[in-house]
Amino acid sequence: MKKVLIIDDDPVSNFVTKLILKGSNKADVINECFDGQEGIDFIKKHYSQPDVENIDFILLDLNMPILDGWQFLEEYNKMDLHSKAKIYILSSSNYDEDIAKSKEYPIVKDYLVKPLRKDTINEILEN
Amino acid sequence: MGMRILLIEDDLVLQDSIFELLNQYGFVVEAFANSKHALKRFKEIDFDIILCDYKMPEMDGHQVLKKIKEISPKGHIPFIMLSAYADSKIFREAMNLGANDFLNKPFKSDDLIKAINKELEKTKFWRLKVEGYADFPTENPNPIVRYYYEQKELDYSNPAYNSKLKCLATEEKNEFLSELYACANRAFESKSNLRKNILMQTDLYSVTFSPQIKKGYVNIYFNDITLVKSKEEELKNQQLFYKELLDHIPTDVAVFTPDMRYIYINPKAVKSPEIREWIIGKTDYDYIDYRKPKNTDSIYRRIEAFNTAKENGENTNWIDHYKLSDGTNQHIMRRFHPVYDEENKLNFMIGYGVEVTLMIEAEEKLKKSRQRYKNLFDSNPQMVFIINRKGIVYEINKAAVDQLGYPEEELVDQTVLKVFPALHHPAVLGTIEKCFSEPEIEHSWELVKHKKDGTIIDVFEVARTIYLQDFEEEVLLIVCTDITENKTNLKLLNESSDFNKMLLKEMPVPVAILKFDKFIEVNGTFNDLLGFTTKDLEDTSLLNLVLEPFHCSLIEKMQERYACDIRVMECEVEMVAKNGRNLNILLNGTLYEHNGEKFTLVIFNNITEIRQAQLRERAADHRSDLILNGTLDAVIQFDTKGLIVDWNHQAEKLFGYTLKEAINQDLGKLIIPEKYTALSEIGSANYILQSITKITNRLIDFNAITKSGNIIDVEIYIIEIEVAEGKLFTAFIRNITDRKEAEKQAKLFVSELTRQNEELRRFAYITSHDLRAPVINLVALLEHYDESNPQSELNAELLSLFKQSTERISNTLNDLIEITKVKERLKIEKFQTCNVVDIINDTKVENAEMMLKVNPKIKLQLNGIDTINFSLTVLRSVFNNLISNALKFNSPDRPLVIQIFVERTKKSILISVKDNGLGMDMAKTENRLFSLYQKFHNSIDGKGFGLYLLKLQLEALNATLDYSSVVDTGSEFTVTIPILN
Repeated sequence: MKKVLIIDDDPVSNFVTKLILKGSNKADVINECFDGQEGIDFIKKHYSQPDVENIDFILLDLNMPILDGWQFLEEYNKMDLHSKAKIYILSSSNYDEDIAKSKEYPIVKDYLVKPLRKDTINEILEN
Repeated sequence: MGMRILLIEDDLVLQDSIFELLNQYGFVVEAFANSKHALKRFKEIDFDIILCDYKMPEMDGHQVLKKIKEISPKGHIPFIMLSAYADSKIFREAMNLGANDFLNKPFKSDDLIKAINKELEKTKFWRLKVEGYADFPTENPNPIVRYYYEQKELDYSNPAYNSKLKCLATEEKNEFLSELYACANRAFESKSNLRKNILMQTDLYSVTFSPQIKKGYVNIYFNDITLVKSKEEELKNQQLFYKELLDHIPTDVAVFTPDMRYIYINPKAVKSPEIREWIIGKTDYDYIDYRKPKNTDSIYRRIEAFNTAKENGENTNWIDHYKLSDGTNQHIMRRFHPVYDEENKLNFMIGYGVEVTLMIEAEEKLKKSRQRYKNLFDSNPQMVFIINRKGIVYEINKAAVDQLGYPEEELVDQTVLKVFPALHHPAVLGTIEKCFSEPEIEHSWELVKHKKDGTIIDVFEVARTIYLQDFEEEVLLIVCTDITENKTNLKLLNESSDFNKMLLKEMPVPVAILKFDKFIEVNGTFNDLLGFTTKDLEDTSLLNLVLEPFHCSLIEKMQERYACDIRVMECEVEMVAKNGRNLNILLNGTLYEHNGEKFTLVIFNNITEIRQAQLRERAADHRSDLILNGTLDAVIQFDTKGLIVDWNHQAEKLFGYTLKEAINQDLGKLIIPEKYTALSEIGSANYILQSITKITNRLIDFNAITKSGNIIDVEIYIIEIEVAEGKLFTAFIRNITDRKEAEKQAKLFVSELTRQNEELRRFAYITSHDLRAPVINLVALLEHYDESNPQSELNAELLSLFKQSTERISNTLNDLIEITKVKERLKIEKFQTCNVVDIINDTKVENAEMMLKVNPKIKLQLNGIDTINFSLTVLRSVFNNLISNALKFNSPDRPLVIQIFVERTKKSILISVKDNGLGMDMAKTENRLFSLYQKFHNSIDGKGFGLYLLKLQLEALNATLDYSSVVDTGSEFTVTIPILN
């Protein structure tokens, strides 16, 4: 079972994401955070100790209050962690500039445009 | 028996003489001086005529006449008034009362006798008529019946009446008779004729009741008017129908009498109903007198046309042209149509007007297009002939004249055979005949032609039969191309394929062979020019090498060429060489056939150099224009000390000093503003000038001052000249204030545009995101809906989320509409004097609930600025947003203090609202604070809408909104409103 963290301010979208992850039988949603700051705080609190097994995946939305997705990436990069999670951006934006910008972050594995599909998540979890 | 005359005359002498006179003529006269006696006598016996004086004691003539009419109302006894007063009033009164004639005293005996006889004649005539009818009642086809008043019964009736009455049912009969009796009684009692329309069965009768008082009965005459009535109705209807038709006819209609008086005119022709009514019976001359129209041309034209129509007895047409107030033309065709009666006399004249604007305009267009056709025909570079069946030339174009060398008059109206060698004449005639016999087909052939100078050329001709209306017959249009050269080439090409290939390869011009648009082969020169070999271009379209903007025209030309079988094609395009360079190429295509297949030989003329040279030429022209304009510079000469030696007219104009004033002055002191000389380290204008002169032959911008103290931007260019006395400098100075200003404006404009663009982009991004997100959610939720088990728990949850998403879409749309509305409203926003304290108090009331809850301390520092000239709505929005935000984001750790600060600077008014609330991390908010739907405090309710809208409103009015904030310390928002001049 892979550990997945959802960071997204849209509860409806999160509901669907959780439903799909649950259906895959390969992932555990460890938490859902409603903005970037909450995400950072959660990771700091639970996963900054060296002996803790890390999160496998983060599904990250871009447009969020307080800290948006980009700002989260900046902060996350700065964090001193045992190992870093694979980050997938999951956004409703299909703007080319957003997609291009995501490529500037090596930590971002892929850019997924909502809605999340079963096939996509299966592919990610298997690799 | 002699006629009885009653004479009433108080002048006894005159009475006597009249008496004598009338006696002589055999009349029986009874004369009275007293009118009362006369009237008494009148009642006793019947008189045939009455002569009565006007001026009499007791009763005058009028009173006598009135009495007589009273005594015998139905009587037809002629009454002649005699009077010494030739007064028109008396005369008119007498006539009104019923006098038959009026004689002025003194009168001649003849006149009196004549007047009496005339009246008696009239009476006799009537009496005869009445008696005549009375004599033949039985034969009368109309019912006649007599009613006795005393007995109240019908006595006499004619057969027509009896038969009619028989047809009536009893009830109808009684009803009819009672009406008849009632009318008869009334007529008798009133002693006058009575007429009444009575319905008898289906027939309508006009019934006349004629009482005979002395005889004691009433004659009743029936007159069948059923037909008359229905005819009348019909006629009336018809008249109405035609009148309405005329009134509504969409053309001008007027009807005139033969002497051109208006009988009728319809509303289309004359709008005003008053004039329409007024003009009936009048002529156009009356109209001119009455209305005094400015332009009488059309009226006189109408009168003339009327007379022509009347004289010639036929329709006359003419056209009136009008210029309407909206600038368009109106053309109306008018026609006079004479209508004759049975005796062939002019009865009346009908005038019509029909608008023919469209027709005339179409005709003009046709004329123009004919002219265009003519131009096209003339400017066609190929020879064009128009000939008839017999081979006679109707028209030729300029190209034909030029290329063949015959003057036009030697060809036109001559046989076309002239230009062919005698050997070919039978063939030519045969071909012409063939063309006419198969008009639906386009014919083409190759032939040879003679030129005037005797040389023979090969021509390719395409002929088509067309019907030319101008000639009113079918003619042959022949387009003829000189292909002597091509022919030679093609001949050679056709002779041997090896030779053909060799020739192609060795050709010093770039050549390609194409099948339709596909390359088959290119030669070495082509390779040199464009870098492609035959192999490179295998199966490639020519279009691939041509820049896209030229595709259209090229395709058009190629298609046209194939369709019309025109052998030569020319087209200028831009092409891309293999190395990516763009070239201007003139394509010259020639069609040829080989083994039944069509190929195109295209020559590629490189005209890049020519085009570039043309461009350079244009640029050079532009430069020389600039140089010419340069003579508008101020030219100033000065020596090494900076003293002015020469000062031209433009310098006078630019700086305001005359030559006299300027000469020998220190140039630096004169035109360089003091503030610069003061700022300069050395402090001398001369020094600056010296440093300027060091950089001769370069353009320098600087600020100069004019005589009137205006600072202007100038551009200076200084050259050094060696003269006998030493060095001199010449400065060319140009005023560039306007240019600088324009540059500044342009910069401002560009930055504003950039800002708006950025704003638009941001708006589009955010809104599309916020609309997209919930829609995507809806799609995703639907996918998980379990249709097989609708009552499941999951479905219930999905539905609830479904509702949430839909609401979010609806809310977002509402917000967008609100934003659009605000933007629209700003367009009509007006500035007014706004009282700051009032607005702040209003804001407190609006936020009363929060105010009570938070209980902030509000510190106000207005610095004497009580009012601001700005949009009241936006200013309210400023305070409402900033104060409510301060209330919303207050810190639970300390009591809230809001400081409002208003200040005036040189160019603007600053409003700042500062609080000691939660504050924000500016690094995190970045530029998102004023964007749509951005939130920075999770726990506090807010949409991220207010500040976005506020910023939008302020920027639309050239104001700005800025902020600074520190977490857990507070925020400060500053609005800057520019002061209007």
